[in-house]
Amino acid sequence: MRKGSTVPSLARCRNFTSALCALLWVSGPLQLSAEDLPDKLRIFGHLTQAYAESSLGSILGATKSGTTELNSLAVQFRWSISDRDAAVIQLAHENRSNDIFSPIGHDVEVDWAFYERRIGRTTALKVGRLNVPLGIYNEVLDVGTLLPFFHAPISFYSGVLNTAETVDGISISHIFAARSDWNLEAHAYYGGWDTAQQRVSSDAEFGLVNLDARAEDGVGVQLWLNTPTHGVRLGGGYLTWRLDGPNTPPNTRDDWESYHVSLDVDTGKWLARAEWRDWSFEQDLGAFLGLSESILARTGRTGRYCQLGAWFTPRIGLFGQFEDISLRDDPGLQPQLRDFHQDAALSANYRFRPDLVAKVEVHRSETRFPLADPSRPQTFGGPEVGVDWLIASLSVSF
Amino acid sequence: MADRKSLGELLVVRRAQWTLFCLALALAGGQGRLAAAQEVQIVVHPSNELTSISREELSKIFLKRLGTWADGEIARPVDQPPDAAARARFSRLVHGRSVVTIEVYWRRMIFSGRDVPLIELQDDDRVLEYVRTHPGAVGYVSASAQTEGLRVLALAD
Repeated sequence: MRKGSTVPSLARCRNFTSALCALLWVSGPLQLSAEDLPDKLRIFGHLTQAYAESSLGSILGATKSGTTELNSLAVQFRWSISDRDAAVIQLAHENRSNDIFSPIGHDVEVDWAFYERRIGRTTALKVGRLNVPLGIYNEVLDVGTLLPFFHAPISFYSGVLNTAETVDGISISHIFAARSDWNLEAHAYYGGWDTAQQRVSSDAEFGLVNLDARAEDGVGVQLWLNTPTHGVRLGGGYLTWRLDGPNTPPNTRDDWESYHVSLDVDTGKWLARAEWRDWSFEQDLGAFLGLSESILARTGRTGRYCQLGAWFTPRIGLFGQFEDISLRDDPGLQPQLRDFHQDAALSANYRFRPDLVAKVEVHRSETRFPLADPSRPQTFGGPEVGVDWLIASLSVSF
Repeated sequence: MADRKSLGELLVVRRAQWTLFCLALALAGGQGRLAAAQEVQIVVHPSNELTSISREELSKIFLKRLGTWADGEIARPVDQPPDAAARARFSRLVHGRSVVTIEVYWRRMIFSGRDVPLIELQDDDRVLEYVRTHPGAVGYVSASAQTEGLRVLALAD
């Protein structure tokens, strides 16, 4: 959805955003029922606007001076051609301030455009640009009314880098033993996607520059085991792809792999979620670090998080989260980088309606993100610093 | 010794009181569920041969996790608006969850690109008319609704 080099007219996009904000706000509890629209066309959308501020430097879009450049919106058109066929297009715009995990991309882009065919009772086939079932949040990364925090955990979902939010390809889903109390949801997908590859640069604002790259031959699976207890499921998945980008050694292509496991308990009142993900990849660390020599290494990292909380009343929810990113030891990076980022957070949600949610969240991070401490040289792998930051956001969907 | 005995008796009395309290709660809960069941009727197209359905299966049909009836007919569930009294009763009785929670579920289905919510019909009469005219249809209406010409399903646990 977002690419490193895309920097179009901000003014145009702000106008677009403002217009849609006004439309959504005025629309209020807009519910488009079958009686309001032609039978087969249904339109949905979501919008989130946030303010974020940090105590020290910039972290995941929050800045010391405070910023409102954190927003996202999407409009989805779903055309039901028949009981078994549908076509879906979703247009989206996103602005993540200077979050290094989400390279700047202010354009309105085609987020999804796929054709879906239901086969039999519990099988679905999709072709086109489609969202990827990966973990609990990957399919709803920007839908503020569904997230307990503004960001889906960065330790697992990784912004736009080193993962797949959508693929240009094909997917198939099936529910095994659908009538049973225990049933298994299986998803498999294949395709490629635009992404970015990072390179260390002391001249860059972020200490890192994002360069265009393309992931190809992505193959992934996601399994969910649904239990007889409503809202309790266990998941796991695997994704592999080849990355063709500027850090890729000549005549080779980076091979990436990621595994993950998930526990999801969401009873409607209580929420307990934990996910763990491991990445490994072949990379030219020399190119990554901006060195003239080539250092080929198999390296990787691990991300994990847990969330606990509850809707104590139909309107008020309180949630806590802890997440952690650790880099794997390798010949090109200093050992102290192993513990790269930890974050503890609390979030208070106020649900005016299911489609209108306000959140205030506070975070405490111990991190090595380059911009977290503006007084230090902006290079990758600086000392760990402690940063407090907050985000206040309002999300609406229709 | 006497003190110990009286303490034992006290424990027996307390246990009996606790048992009675639990029994009362269970009966009250059962009656509440029975009352809720009596306040909503599950109606299907007359060609549907079922006479009863489990809450679990009905919930899956209304969450679109099951697309067909056991005989292979496409299931066509219809909802009522979120503020309808019958919707609140049905949601608690069949899904075991509030209407808000189910609304959040549908938002997740929409924005993950998987599916869209059920058609919402404004009142009992429109639900009855829809179910009457669509093979495979299933809906819920209040206990007082006239369901002539339709099959009313019993709920099984």
